[in-house]
Amino acid sequence: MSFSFQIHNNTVWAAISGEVDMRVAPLWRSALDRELAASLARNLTFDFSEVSFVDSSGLGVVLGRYKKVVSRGGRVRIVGANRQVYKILELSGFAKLMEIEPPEQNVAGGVEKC
Amino acid sequence: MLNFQAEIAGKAAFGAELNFAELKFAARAENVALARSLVAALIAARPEANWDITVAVLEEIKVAVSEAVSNAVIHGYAEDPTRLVTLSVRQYQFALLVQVADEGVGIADIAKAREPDFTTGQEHLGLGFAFMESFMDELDIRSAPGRGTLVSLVRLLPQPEEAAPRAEQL
Repeated sequence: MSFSFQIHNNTVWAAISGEVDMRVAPLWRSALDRELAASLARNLTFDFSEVSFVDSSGLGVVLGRYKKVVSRGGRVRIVGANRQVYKILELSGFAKLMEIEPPEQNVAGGVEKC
Repeated sequence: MLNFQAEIAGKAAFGAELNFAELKFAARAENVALARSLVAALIAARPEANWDITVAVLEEIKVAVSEAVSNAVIHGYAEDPTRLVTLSVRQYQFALLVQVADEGVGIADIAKAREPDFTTGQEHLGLGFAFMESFMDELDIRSAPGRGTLVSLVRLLPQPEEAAPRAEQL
């Protein structure tokens, strides 16, 4: 697991890799909050392209940051989610709140075997 | 091991039990990944050549297991590392049964706990049971205040359409 932050065009670009569960969530939340407090950028983009797994602990961090950013007048997006992660994001109802980039159509997600 | 007996609907149709594993681990955040790994390894190892769960389904099962174990660690035991969570996995001919048990605080109102809840603190989504329900074919919760919680998760295996119906195993 690792996270990184970049700022482009008034947007904090927050990337995280690996499995985002209850072990990782508090660490990531602290790092995100430090970054958001230090930055003047208005918007937040979550880059999930290296996320292999997420559960409600990870989504709780996203939702908490969403509330902060929206209260400052910013926008939140999620990009790069693979098919499995995208399915969780859909089920969570986040698509009603924020823009979520759909997974690439060509990525195998439901046919390959273990 | 358990304070509770699960009532699994349709268990007669699971067929013969092929494999069983049980793991006890401390109520620590890092052990949630361990629980997912055990379930994933058993599924990938296949107790029989035609026992098959796709990667997409495996990922769904991992989310459900993660939610059940996270609940035991966070809610059951308040992350007290001296307390133990029990994970058991049973592979049947036609089903996977995963059970997560704790002897922690328990749930007073199970129906209320199962309702998706966006309000209880901004960091915990209250979506755990919703994900378990969405991703599994059956979710059974047994709990009582002070006596712990047993969560049973069932995923039925996809049956090849051309296969002849098998005689039910007793």
